[in-house]
Amino acid sequence: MTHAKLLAAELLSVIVHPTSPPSFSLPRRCPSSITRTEILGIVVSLEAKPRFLKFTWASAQACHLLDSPLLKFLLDDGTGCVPCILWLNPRLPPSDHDPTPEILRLQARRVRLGEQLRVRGRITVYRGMLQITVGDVLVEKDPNMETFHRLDCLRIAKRCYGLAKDDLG
Amino acid sequence: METLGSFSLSDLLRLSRPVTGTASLNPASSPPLKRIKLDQNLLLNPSLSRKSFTPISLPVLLVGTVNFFSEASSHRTGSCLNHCLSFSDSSATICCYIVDFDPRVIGQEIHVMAWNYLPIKQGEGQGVLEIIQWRFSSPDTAPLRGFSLSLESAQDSGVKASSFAFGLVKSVSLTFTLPIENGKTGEMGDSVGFLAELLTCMCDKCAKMRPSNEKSGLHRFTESKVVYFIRPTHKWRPVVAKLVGKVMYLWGLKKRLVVVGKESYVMLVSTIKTKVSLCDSVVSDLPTDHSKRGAYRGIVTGIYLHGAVIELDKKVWLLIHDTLLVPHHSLRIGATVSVRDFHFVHANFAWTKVIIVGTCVMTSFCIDSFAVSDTKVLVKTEEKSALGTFVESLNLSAKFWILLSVSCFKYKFRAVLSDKELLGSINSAGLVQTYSSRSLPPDVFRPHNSMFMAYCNHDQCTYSSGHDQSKCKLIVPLSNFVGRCEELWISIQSEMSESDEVHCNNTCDGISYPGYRRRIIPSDDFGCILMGNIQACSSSGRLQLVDATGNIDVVIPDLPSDLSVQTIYEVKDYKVVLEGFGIEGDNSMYEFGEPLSCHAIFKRQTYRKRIHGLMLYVQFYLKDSVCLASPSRAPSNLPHSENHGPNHLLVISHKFPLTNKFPFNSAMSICSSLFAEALIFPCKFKRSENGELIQLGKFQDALDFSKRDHKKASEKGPWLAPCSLASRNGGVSATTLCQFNVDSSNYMVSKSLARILLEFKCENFFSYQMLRIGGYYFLNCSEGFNPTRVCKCWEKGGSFVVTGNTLQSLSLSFSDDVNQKEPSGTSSDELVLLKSLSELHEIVDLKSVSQGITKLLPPSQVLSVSSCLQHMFHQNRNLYGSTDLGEQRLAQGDLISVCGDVEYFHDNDCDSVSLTASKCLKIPNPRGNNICIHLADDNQMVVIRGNLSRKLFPIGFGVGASATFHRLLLTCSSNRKEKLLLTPVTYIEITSVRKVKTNRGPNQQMFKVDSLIESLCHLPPLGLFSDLHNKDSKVTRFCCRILTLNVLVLESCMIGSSPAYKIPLAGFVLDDGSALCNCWTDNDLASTLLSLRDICSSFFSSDFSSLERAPKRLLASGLCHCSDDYSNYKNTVGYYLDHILKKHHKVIVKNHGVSLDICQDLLFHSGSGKVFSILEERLLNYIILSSCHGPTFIATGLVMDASATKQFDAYISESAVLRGCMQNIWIREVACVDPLKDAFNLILDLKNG
Repeated sequence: MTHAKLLAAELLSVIVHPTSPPSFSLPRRCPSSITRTEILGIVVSLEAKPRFLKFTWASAQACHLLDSPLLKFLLDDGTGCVPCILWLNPRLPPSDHDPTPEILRLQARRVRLGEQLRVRGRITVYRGMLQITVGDVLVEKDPNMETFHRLDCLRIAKRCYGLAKDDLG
Repeated sequence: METLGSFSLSDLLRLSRPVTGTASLNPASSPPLKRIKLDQNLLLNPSLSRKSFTPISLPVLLVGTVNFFSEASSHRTGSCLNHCLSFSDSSATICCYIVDFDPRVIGQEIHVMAWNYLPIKQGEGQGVLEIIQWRFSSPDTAPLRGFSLSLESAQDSGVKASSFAFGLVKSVSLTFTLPIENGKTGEMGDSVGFLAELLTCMCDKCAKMRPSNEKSGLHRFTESKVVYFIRPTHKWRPVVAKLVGKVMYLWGLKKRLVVVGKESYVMLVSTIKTKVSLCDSVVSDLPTDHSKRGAYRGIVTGIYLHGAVIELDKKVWLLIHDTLLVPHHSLRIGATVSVRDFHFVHANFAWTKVIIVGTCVMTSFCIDSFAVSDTKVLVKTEEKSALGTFVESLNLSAKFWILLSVSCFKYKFRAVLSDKELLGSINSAGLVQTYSSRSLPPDVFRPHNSMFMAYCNHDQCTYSSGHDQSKCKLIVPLSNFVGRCEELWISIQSEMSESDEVHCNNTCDGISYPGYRRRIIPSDDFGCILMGNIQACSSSGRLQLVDATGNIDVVIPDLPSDLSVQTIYEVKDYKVVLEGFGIEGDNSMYEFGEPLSCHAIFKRQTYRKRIHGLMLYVQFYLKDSVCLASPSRAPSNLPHSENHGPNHLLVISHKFPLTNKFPFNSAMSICSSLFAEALIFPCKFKRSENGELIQLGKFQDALDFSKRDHKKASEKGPWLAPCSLASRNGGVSATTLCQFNVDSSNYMVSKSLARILLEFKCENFFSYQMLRIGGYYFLNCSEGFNPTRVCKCWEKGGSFVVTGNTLQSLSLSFSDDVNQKEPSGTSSDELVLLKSLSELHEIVDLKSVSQGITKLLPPSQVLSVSSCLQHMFHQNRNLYGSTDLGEQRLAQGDLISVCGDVEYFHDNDCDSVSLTASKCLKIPNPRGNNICIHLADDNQMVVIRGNLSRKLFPIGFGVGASATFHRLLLTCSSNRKEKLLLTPVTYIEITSVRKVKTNRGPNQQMFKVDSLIESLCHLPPLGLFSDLHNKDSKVTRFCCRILTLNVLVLESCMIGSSPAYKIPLAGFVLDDGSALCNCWTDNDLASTLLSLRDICSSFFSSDFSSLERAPKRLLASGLCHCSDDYSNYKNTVGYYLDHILKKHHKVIVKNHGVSLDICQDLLFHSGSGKVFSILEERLLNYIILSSCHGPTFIATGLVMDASATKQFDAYISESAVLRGCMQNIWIREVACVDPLKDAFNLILDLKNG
């Protein structure tokens, strides 16, 4: 259930098992199965479907019923580019006491071209392509956070999965 | 003892070389006099310079008599009349000028002890002797005589001359000629003479001509009298001019009424009986008002335009009022001069400020010491021209400007225009005069008076002390302009370095590259006017503005097809773009020496471009520029296109760029060509006799229409479509027989069109620059029109050499133009380099034809970056890759066109893909670099790689440029990743450029190891949740984030009289990437993790309407009260929590949900048993959701054992157990991640472990 901290290259090389829903495993790691991940990178591409101009509660409701509003962006951490999908409609029908749409809206506003983001989410497959279905988005202002994240990934890979030094590259 | 030689003047004249001599090389000795012969070596040795004084190695003495020039003197010039005395011995007579002048020297024989000799005109036996030191030849008697001037030969004539004058000489005019008419006899004649103003004393003794010599204080020189020295006394002028400020007697004058025009003046006129003597015993200073006219003494540092402009001390500009005053023989660079009674102006020109000193008729000008290095004698040779008269009619500052302009014009256009065309002649005005009279404001002109009038009315002179001449701009020589731009660039670099902008680098693939800078400077900041011919450079193919001094790259968005390369254009309104990467190193190595200073312009200092990394170009519109006269000697334009064959209508489908093969050596450029590809429309046009363009031929293929919405379905076959076309040579109308081959999508099938290659030789590079991809043009085929014969242009794969005027741009208006940006350029940050095609296509309506023509090409021919990415994604990757071609691999893919903004570009020598591509495509790489271009639109970015030499960059290419890349290769690399590659045929079109912004986050700092090591403190290593089961109970640091909440207990309390809250227990699920863990904490730490102290404005100020009302509704429900003490606090989440707890006393939130992604299964328990309102539930939900999306933090905690966790069992739901969180920790401390410190800590950890 944990969000495995991974580099994009590692994530893009996971083995997809054709179960339903598909399951994922990391090569040369034990335990190898992962479902969630956390990556950190820079937004190099951003696409809103449909065009995401002004998100209001009314439009969110309309979208929920009629269309699938989502934010699609590519996160580049220097080792690869990971496609990320941020759904802007709540998974459940919204109620008055649920602030989820606002939280999603705040998160969507954080996704801007060139921004360094820390993204957590589920690993999914869409049309044969691996992607992250985003759970939350966090802006990392400090560029040194990228170095820290890389080292943290190495540390966890080494300590948690027992990778040898050679495997770490 | 050394022998003292004696020279005769004829010896000197024979020398024809500047020489200097002295009577004694050893000051203490006094050798005997002996005549010597000139050294043959001195006469014949050609190695001795004529440009400097040759010292005579022997001590020599010149002996001669100083006197006035006689009227019969053969070489009497204006200059000699005003300044020179004669020096003669038995052999010859020459001009002389004496530094320490004593008026008693006139008529006396002197010994010249130290002197310079300068030949005036070589071979004509004229020269000037500059006497530095002299003595009377009979020292015992000469000094005893007083100074007196008279025409002794005429003293006994019967002329009555009873008037006299006694006074202080105030000023002396130049010698001038005045046509006169004798009032009594009516005789006409010319009067040559000069005026002198005397200040006389009005005391009785003076009136009786018995001035008291004893006490000078008795005299008060106040009354002004003018004495007119006419022929023959006019030759006294060199002596009288030296007596300014001294008191003198004048006898033998006549009082006359002189009438000039409508004015009449009473003045004393000299006669042949006039006698002048000096009164040494009476000394008086000139009155104080006189000194207001000023006196200046300085060293001559420059003499320009035949002595019309003199630079003193490198700061003051002396304008000579009339060229009669100069040339003064001794006025040379290095001489010390004194100027009295001048006009003084601070002129503020548009580009600089200068101090101008202007002489007038009253100005006295004398040489205090001679120049020793410069030997160039100024000679007045030219007659007064129309330009000279024009210049004299201007005020001082305008006069200075026009003299500067004369210098600029001559400097700039000496190669293409003759002096007569530039400066005019006696009767006709040249280019400088016509240009200046148009440019100068009317208030700079002043009435021009004769010298007599000007002298007499001098007090009414209208010179003012300051002039704002900001309308006068410098017609800058282009080499000086380039120098100024480079100077600016260096200063910009220095400024940026000081402001720390230099560190704002860009990164690509983790490698940092230097920042790119661009500055757009408007013409007003330069205060200069650009002038020159517009030509396409034969070596680079670029458009340039050219003059004789240099050239500068230009961009003209409204470039017409009928531009004459011989015409001189004046560009007042322009923008200069300076761009490039930052210069590393010392900027002080570049010395420019003020390229736009008047000194540099007059001196014609040349500059050449020195900074290689700087891209420098000028953008202007031709409609804002003025076309000046074409030079007459330039060849006329080529014969008009009417004589040529039929006109083809064609659309440019591609322009081939310069390649690396292109010779950068201009000498080799003749054999080079540029190419463009065009599609010819299947119709023929011909210009009729009255200039109309008539469509003649039919379309080649008779095809069916698939759509005929606008026509009746019954009609078939060719149909007549009236159309009007316009070329820049005037509107033309035609009736076109049109029939289009359209496919199902209503696009014309381009296969049916002939494709033609246009070749441009170097003399027609200009036509190549004018072409636009997607633009429509008429091609005048050289073949004669034959309706029965098919033109060669129709042959598939044919080529056509473009010459002269064979291409004319055509204006078409399309209402449904796609891919065209809105007309921009209004923003001050953006500079348009190319007009959009829709702006070019103006006026003409080509309704029926345009429906076919617009749809000739696919609508999305040029992709945006976003659509390019889509295209890349959807393309079948199997089509791409590479094909074996013998030993080499050839990249395969589609050619596409992409437009976007260049975000950054840099050299990328290590990119293997582009290296492979360049190798595969056989790109010669002598100078080319692998570059990486980041092209972006609002949302997306693509990277284009390839091989491109910096010399081939189109003008404007750089960061912030809006560019269209035509024919990029979309291919796939070995790892099946799509790549965009530059190919040798990729043409880059720059539409506009923007100022480069420097975005730098306020808190961002780059990774600096030095400071890191200094600040590093010994932190305990970070632990992992997955290791907890192996660990003993000890405090460990974890880097983790909140995943979800287990339980939250909130209770109300009172702090003083205010309601508050406390958190007895909070349980979270934490995730550090290795495992999950239950963590427990309370009060302050819980409050931190829940971000209760954070301002929740982002939440409440959202545009979600119900939440905007939330505070009001809370107020209304009594939950909220306003207090100034809480002004900050009431914006926090905790503030609202206080009021919820006031109602419920205690709130317990439990999470029963299994899913980690949503918190939909939170259960709320109220301590008071009251029901939660929607808003209250909403706020609690918000608090918990926000904390679950919080940042990474460092939690320091202690592992709890089983007994300790038992007390929390009640709070841990079954779902939490299902999540697999078996470990429990108690959090003791929470801190933000310090990425620098913690990263270093991790490095040590990884290294050690």
